[in-house]
Amino acid sequence: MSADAALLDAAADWCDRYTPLVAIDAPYGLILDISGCAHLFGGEGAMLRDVVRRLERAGLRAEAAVASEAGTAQALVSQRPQMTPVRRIVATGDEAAHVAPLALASLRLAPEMIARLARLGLSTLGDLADLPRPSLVRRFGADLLTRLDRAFGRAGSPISPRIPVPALSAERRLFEPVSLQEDIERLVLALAERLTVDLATRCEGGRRFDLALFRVDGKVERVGVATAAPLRDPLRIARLFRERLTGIGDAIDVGFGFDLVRLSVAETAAVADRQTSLAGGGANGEALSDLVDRLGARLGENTVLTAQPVQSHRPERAERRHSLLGAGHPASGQLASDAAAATPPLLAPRPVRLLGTPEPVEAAYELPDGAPLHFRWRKALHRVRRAEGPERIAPEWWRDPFEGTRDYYRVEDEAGRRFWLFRVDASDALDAAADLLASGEEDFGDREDFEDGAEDGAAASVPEAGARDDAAAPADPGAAAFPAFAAPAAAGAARPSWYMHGIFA
Amino acid sequence: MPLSSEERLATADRQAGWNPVRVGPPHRLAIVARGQSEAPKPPRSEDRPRQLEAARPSSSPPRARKAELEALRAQIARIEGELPALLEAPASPPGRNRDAGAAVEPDLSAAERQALTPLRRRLPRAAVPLGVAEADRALGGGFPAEGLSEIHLDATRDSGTGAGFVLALASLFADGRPVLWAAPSFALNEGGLPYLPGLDAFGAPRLILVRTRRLEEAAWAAEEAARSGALSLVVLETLGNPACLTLDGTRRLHLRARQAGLPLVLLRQGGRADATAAPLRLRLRAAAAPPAPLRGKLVGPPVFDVSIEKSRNPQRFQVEWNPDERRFQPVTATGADARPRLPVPLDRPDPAAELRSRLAVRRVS
Repeated sequence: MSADAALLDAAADWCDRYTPLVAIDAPYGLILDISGCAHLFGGEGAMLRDVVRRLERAGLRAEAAVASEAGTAQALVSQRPQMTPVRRIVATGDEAAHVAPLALASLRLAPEMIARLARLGLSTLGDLADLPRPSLVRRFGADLLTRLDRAFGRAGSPISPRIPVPALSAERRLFEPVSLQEDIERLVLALAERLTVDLATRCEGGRRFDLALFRVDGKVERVGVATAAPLRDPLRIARLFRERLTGIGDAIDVGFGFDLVRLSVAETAAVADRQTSLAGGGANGEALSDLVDRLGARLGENTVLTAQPVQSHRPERAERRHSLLGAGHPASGQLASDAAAATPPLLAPRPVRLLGTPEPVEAAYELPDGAPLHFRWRKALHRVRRAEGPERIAPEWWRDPFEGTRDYYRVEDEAGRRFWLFRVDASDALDAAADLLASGEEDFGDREDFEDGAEDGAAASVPEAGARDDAAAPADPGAAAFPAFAAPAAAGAARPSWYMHGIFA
Repeated sequence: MPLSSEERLATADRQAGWNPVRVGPPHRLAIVARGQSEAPKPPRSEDRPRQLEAARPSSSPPRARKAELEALRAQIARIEGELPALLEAPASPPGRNRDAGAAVEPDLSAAERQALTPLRRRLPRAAVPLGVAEADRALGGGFPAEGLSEIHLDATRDSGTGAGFVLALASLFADGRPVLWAAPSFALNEGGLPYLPGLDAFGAPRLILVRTRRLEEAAWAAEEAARSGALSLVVLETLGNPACLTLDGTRRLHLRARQAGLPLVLLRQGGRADATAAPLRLRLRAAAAPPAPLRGKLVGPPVFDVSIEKSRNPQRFQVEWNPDERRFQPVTATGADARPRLPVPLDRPDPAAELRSRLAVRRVS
């Protein structure tokens, strides 16, 4: 089934060469909105023949119909497979003549509904259309009538295109397929020059450009670039695609070459014309957006990031990283302005680097509520010389109800490194979990104790324990002297767990 | 058969690759390259060897000789990447933020700056003073405002110190243009991502983070950024000493950054001293702020322990960052830290040690 869907997707991709509005009519159909496109292919009849012929050449048997409404065409091709495939063009106003003789199955009704209608002696759509409408609705529901109206072209059926329709697009058909990257770049430049005129008349610039490369054998490659600021300059557009194509490298399978190249502007933004100086040279903002565009084009859109402050107590949520490219991001237009100046003032110091996920550390402490005496992070022991804290940060219960309250400490080890540690009382988290979950099976404390026990057992069972001790000599004597490491946790009493979250300057 | 001390010296010289000939053009070149302000006096004509006689007629007037010397110095400086200029006496007077070049051309586009590049070469090297007399003296005027500089950290867990120092530099260089920080994602996973709320203590520079999959991509991004001239500082962060950032790779970065007149900092987590094209290499360690009367057991301001490793006179100094006034200041010692600050020994394997018996290899860095 998924293979069928993939095939249908590929066919829909290929049909993009006729119109940008292609919708999938599951499970086996495609709907193409050819309004305003047919004359480009020599009229509706020629277009229909072209589609069917090309699909047949690709090994697909297709039935096709052209009508004013999608419902009419759908009904015409939804009959049982016949000896001669359907090729029909329905003129506007002529729907009833074409649709009336069709069997009820072409409305795609449920089988039991068809059986009920057949028992009443109704076999074609014409029979159904002759009946009084109120009684039909009363006996068979409004859905039947809606389908009937759509088939007769009396009601429009909305179609949802698979790919958002671009604001502008320009394409070039080639009699001789191209496969070299330089050729594609040259074509992109030519297409961008055509788009620039339209963008200029609309006083807009593109924020996202899509390049569709239609391969001779029907496969379609799509390459997109996003920009940090509205862009109209064809040279810069072409240069972005050059970076993108270079960055993609061999990911595009050229095959026998591409015979249709289309460049479209997926997102636009207003851009004001600006007076440039006679001395030449753009402003600094332009150089910056050019750099950001090129980095994003070569390395991927989500590589070039900026951060924005967010109102949240949780340190990991206090900033939001997002790409500088594309129009879908809230602050993307503020490349030239100072976005970071809006940071709300903080009372407590925050680290200069934050770890992606808090990393567990083994910490020893004097008092259960106090700062750690020493801790082991990434196998290295740090002795705490100075400490500040705790700064208690409660979880956002509306987001993560099972989290415990965190007590943050800012500590300085003997070498002068400063870290941001926090302690989560496992019992807190467990209480919260037990409150919310009837079956509180998550027992962090027990699992940790079990792990500790397993380690001890392993150490005792290894015969060359002496050798191990030698290897770990600098760390082990200290570890033996740590009260918290050595103290067996009482059963049921969950130990607080410590995590490393950030590093200060 | 035992050798005499003379013979042993000669053998050692030969093994070290030194030419046993005492006087000759190569020696003269080496002496000039040391950056001495005055060339050694020429020997009197009667005891001058034959080669020198052939190379330069003794009747050359002193002005022509001086011009020739100047040309030679310029050539050597070009070959060496303007290395000796850094260790001359502090060129720019304290308080001036930029060099003479920046004063002449207040805001130029990249193209215009490029056109002026040969002119800039002759101007004194740009350096931005840190504002601490000891540090500026050790650095020869300040932190270089163009070209590549390396900052090494002992281990990944010092990443906060490195980030703090780099961001402090960014606030020194700040001129309204943003800072670009390029790093492969594995380095950022190890050392942590720059954290926006924490940047406040460093003047909240506008940071563009480029997080790439591979190191080569980050290096490419840094090179492109160095070329664009739309940034105030470019930072490239790596782990250790990768193969793509040896002499060749760093040379490209250095040249690009110098051409654009832009400082580029290569921040290595856990890097070992290696031969690179960077004229300046610092090793950075964290240091605890000395106890102060009101501080008690509280954590003090960040203190950076900086050792200048790549330099003709390695030095070591400490500076403290004042997060409130956002400037460097001398460490506010209250007599606690009176240890003599000696240059730290370079803790690294000597790459030439195993080759010395067979090849004449001189230290590159």
